[in-house]
Amino acid sequence: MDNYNKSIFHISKPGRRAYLLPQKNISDEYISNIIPPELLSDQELDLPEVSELDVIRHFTNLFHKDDKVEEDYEIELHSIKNNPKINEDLEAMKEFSMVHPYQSIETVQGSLEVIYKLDEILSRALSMDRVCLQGMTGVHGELISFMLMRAYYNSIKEFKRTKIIVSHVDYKNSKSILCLAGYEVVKVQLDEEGSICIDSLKELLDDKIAAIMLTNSIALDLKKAKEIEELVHNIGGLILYNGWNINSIDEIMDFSYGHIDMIHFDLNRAFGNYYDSGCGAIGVKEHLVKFLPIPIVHKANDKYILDYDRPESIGKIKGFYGNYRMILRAYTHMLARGMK
Amino acid sequence: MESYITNVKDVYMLDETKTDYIEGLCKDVPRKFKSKNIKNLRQGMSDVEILNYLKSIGSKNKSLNDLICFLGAGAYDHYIPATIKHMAMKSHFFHGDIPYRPQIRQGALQVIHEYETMINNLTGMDACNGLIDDGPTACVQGALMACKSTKRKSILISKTVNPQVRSVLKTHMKYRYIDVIEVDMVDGVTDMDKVKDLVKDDVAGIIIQSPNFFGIIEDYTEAEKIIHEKNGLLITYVDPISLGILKRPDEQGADIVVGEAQSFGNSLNYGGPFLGFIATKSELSKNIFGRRIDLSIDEEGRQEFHMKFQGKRAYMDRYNSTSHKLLNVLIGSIYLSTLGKKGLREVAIQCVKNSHYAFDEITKSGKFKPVFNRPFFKEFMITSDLNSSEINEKLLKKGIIGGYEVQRDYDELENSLLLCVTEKRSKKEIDKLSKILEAL
Repeated sequence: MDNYNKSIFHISKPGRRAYLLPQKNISDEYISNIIPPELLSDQELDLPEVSELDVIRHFTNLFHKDDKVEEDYEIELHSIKNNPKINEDLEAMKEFSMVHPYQSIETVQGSLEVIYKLDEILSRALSMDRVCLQGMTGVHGELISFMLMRAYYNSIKEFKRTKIIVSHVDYKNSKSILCLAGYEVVKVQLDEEGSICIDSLKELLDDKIAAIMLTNSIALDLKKAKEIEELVHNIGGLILYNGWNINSIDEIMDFSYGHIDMIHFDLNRAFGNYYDSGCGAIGVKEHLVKFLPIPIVHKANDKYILDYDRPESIGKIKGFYGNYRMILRAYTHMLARGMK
Repeated sequence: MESYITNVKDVYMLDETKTDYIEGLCKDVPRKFKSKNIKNLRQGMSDVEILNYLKSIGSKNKSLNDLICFLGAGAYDHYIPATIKHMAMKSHFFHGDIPYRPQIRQGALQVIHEYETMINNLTGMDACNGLIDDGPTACVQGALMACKSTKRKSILISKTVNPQVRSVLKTHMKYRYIDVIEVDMVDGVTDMDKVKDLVKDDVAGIIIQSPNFFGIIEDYTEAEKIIHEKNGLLITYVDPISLGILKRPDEQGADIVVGEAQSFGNSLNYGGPFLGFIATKSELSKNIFGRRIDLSIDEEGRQEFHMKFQGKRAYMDRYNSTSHKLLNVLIGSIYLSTLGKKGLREVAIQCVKNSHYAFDEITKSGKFKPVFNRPFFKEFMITSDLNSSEINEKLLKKGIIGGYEVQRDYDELENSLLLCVTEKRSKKEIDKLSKILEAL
């Protein structure tokens, strides 16, 4: 059925329906008695009318139009990975999926425990002090880390630091995000081997530099990492690490050696998530923890709490507490892998 | 080797590279950077162990499976048709990547296109991006779009808009040097006199929610006139379920419609991932953020879905086009197809009927009083002499999740509860709630 080309509106037939709601005889008159008629719509909805079988056939046909990782292996821009099927089962557990985000804290201790423990595992693996899991995607995490940086410099009253050094590889991706966060982008030249050229970096460094963004495996030669870090720290800048291939390097590289201040990465793909929704994680060192978005999960007297009382925080970054389903899947994935 | 990795033995690959072990491949990494054994991290668990372990953590939660939910405030417990569970979970459809290559993702693109068409039909708009992370973020996108379209740097937002949306908007606007000005409320709705005072030539737009945070259906026709006089834009934050019976935003002059579509079949998931949307009129559509899916038909009648602005937008507005929420959109699309023309209207009507029945029952004796006397959709506010958190505690003991304590965000609304009654609540459950409340 690769050439199936009907839309759901094409297969719609008047009078068909695919749902069963409790029958309640409610007249239109009743509704217009309680809601003023000028607020009610007098037009029919323009939605399809299909039976349950129509829905199932239509979507099954659409699935067949796609190339899938389970049938074949087409490489796109990002690597497609198979996801362990157990993640699907766990994510569907009603104990986790049917929890309202505003339920009282006593009734959501399990959910909070997962967030807290994943934070703990990732912090330890990356030698960070806290990992915030509230970003929605890797790029959103990047935006949050720039906001954190801005809050940090504002707190130490260094308002003139407005430039961020990126390599030309990151340039295209990061430029718009940096501009959104109110930063200016400076491009650093690469040497013949494809890593950051120290001489050209030295020329760029001045008191207006807020940070340098390092990306591993493309523009960072590990042998030079220490030198770069020292140079940037000497002028008071921060080291940001773009962890877009974090899973491949966290086993080899020890992050505690490098004096990285902030690291942002996406919990999709590599952590057993599918690509559609990610979870932007931002790992920070002690001096940046107080700026993390609210709320933060704390453990006090064996009880997990959501801490909103953080005056120096950058504020709320998304609705509720992050993409919880992705956090749960990533946690399961970490449990399955251990640290190996 | 992990169970989900196809390679049976990694030595095959290592043989080819003539190296002894994975260490050999990473020779270039200086020793000092190499990871030492990370302590205190447990070994990997088996499937059974994980299942049991997570069950033990999950048992510390109390889910809506065991409790009756009268809580809303931005996340709603609506009926989820069985088709969703079976269709959305059956497929490996969502395992793929972002549809960067439309040729091999025609199915995914069609799902997104159909979903966006349905959102357009519901809101009466012409262009839509249904792939936004959640409602609050969609509102941020709407505000940015208004600023971009009008080239102005100030946004008004009513205090009746969900407090969470307002705080997310403020965070995102802080570093873009856009002013967010809050408009006071009067008797549960936006104060139009204040709107008149605040709308000036530099205001890009005003954001009004209807039904608002207190569940009240706001009539914003006056605000529309005021803002359009100054050439600003009207942004409405809607609950898409309410569009089953309420007037469409385009009929009331909205330029940009944003909202949270979690109610369309997505489970609560402790707050994410949810699904936001932004829709606008054709004259503003060039400023809508993110990629858009379009349909082309060639001379022979073959149809092909493609992504508009792919090259230009994918990187230029990268943050703004972050989401690839295929699964959530698939769920939303199946929900709207399943319920269809009559179903969505029926859901909306049942929400109105149930919530009004609950309202009448609870306020009957006079122990609980309504906070506002205005038409509402599925949420309403009640107040009493009792402390609202104590009421909730007592309700929880009887297996009921009570309302949202509004005092958290509005100091003036002491001891008030925001209750939400969806079509999922039965008469028996509502009676149980009113009886317990009466006996307090």
